[in-house]
Amino acid sequence: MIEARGVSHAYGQQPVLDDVDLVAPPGQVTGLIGPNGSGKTTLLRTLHAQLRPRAGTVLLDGSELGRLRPREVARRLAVVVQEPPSELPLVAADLVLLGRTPHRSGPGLGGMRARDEQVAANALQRVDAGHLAQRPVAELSGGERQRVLIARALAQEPDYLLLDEPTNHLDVRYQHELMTLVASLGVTVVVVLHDLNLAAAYCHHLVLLDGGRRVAAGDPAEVLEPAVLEAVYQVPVRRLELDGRLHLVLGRPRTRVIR
Amino acid sequence: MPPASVGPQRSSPGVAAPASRDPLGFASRRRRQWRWLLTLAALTLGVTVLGVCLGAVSVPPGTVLSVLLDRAAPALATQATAGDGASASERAIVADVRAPRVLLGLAVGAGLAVCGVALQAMVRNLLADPYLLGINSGASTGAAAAILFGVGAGLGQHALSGSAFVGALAASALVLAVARAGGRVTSVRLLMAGVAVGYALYAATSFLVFASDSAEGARSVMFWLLGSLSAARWGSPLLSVVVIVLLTVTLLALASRRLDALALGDETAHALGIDPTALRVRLLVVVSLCVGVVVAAAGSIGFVGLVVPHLARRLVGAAHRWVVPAAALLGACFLVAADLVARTLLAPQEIPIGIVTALVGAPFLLLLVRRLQPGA
Repeated sequence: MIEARGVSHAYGQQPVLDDVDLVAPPGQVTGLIGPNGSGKTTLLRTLHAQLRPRAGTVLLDGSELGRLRPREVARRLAVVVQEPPSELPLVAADLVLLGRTPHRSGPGLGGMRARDEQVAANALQRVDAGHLAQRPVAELSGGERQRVLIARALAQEPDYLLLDEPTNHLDVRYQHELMTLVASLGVTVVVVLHDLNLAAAYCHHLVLLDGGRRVAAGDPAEVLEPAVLEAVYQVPVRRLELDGRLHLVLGRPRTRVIR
Repeated sequence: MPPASVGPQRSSPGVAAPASRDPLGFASRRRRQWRWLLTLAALTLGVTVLGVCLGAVSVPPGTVLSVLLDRAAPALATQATAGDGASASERAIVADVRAPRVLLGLAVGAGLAVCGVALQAMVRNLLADPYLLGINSGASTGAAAAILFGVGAGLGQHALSGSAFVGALAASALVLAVARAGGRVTSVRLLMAGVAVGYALYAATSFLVFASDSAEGARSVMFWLLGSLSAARWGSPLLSVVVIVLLTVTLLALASRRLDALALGDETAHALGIDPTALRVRLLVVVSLCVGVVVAAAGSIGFVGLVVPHLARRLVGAAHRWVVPAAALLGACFLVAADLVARTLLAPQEIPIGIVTALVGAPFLLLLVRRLQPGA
C-alpha cells in the first residue's frame, strides 16, 4: 500500500502542495490529473522519495518512506521519469538490466547473473520490445523508448510502478498501447496524466489536483464531473457515454466565452 | 497488510518466456568485448616492449629481457643469461631510465583515461575531462606551490603528490560547491563551475611561477602545461602513482553499475536506489587523488581523459563494466606510444609529450564532435 497523508510542499516561498491525501488502491491504476502547476508531478516525486515533503508523510507498506534506504525503496517501487536521454551509447538491454541494480548487492563488476538477464529479457518481452535489446537507446523512437523504460521498471520486479506523463510525445495509437500495457501489468500503478480521456479509459481511481490541493478523489465517474472540471480547467466540459464508456469533450464548442 | 502483489515475473512464472541461453543478445557482444580487451592487453604489452627497446639508443628485446630479469631476480638470471652481452650503458638505459619511464607512462595513461570515464559519467557530458572541470589546474597549483615555496615539506618525498592531491581536491570540491549552490548539481552548472575554477587556478599557478622569480620555476611552467615522463625514476613516488592508479581503476570497475545509473540521470539513479550526490562526491575524491598524483609525477598531459573514453566506448559499448578496463588499457597504450614519439621524433632532443597527445587528440576530437548527434 502506498499512501500520502497531509503532504505539503513549497518551492521557495511558492506553495505547490497543500495538505494532500492519497491512497493508491492495491493492484489498480491510480491517475493523478489536474492543470499545469497543480502539483501532480511534485506529488508523484514525494511518492518515490525523490522529494521530501515539507509536511506530511508518505507511507510505503506502512513504513515511512523517508526512513527507508533508497535501495529498499527501489526494490519495491519503480519509477519511469522523463529525463533527457543519455549521450552514452547504451543499448536497450544495458538499460533494462540496470533495473536489477537494487537487487544486486556487492560490486558492479562482471555484470549480472544469468537470472538477472532472464528477468530483464522477460521484462523486454513483456513490453513487446525483445527485438530492441541490442539497439542503442538514443536511436529508439519515442514509443519504443518509453516501452524500454517501462521494461527497466519491470526488471526491478516492483510492487508499485510510478509514471510521470508516460504518454507525452506519443501519437494516439502509442498512447493507448502504452496505457493498455500499464493497466495490464497487475502492479499498483500511480500515473500522472494530462489527457483526461486516457485517465477515464484506463484508471480505476483518480485524484484531481488544483493549485496544490486535492479537489476530488474517487472512481473516474465520480471525479470527472463536468461542473468540477469546468471550475478547475476553466473550459466548458461535456460528458458523453459511448458503449458504456465515459468520454469528455473539452474546449469551446460554442462561440460563447465562459469566464 | 498483504502486499498487493505482483512483480511481473513472480506473478506469472507460467507464462514467462522460455529460458534462453542468450536472452538479451549479449553473448555475441560479450565475445567481441572480450576479444577487444585481449587485443588491447596484447597491444599494451607490445607497446611496453617497444617503449623499453626503442629510443635514441635501440636495445634488442632479448637484451632488455635479460637486463630486467637480472635486476628483478639476480639469482635466477645469472644462470639463464650467462654470457649475455649487455653493456653497462645498455643496462643503465634499460633498467634505470626506460623501464621506470614506461611504467610511469602506463600508469599515467590508464589513470587519466579512467578519470575521464568517471567524470564523463558524473557530469553526463562526453566532453568532460579533468582539465575541463579544473581538477588538473588545482593539481598543478598545488604541485607548483610545493616546488616553488616548499608547501607541504613536512610530507617528505610525498610533498609534491600530496600537495597536488590537495589542490585537485580543493578545486573539485570548489567546483562541486559552486555547482550545488541552490539545490541539485546539474551538468551545466558543474561544467560552468569547472571552467571558472580551472581558469582561476591556471592564473594562480602562473602567478606563483612569476612570483617565485626562479629559472627552475620558469622551466617547470612548460612541464605543468605540456607534461613529461622524463622525471621517472625507480622509487616510492613512482610506486605511489602505480598503486593509486591501480586502486582507482579497481574502484571504478567495482562501481561500474552505479556509473551506468549515474550517467542516465540523477532521478533515474535515485529511482534505482542510488544516492547520486553522495556517489558524485565519492567519485570526485577518487578522481582528485588519481589526477593529483598523476599530475605531480608527469605534469599536465591533455586529451587522454577526453579521447580515450570515446574510443573505448566505440570498441566495447557504453556499459562501464567494459569501458573502465578498456579505457585503462587503451590509455596506457596511447600514452606509452605518445612518449615513444616524443622522445624519438627529434632525438636526441625530447619534445613535451603533451604536444604529441594534442596533435593526435585534437583532430580526433574534432572528428568525434562532428559525429555527435545534433542536440547532444
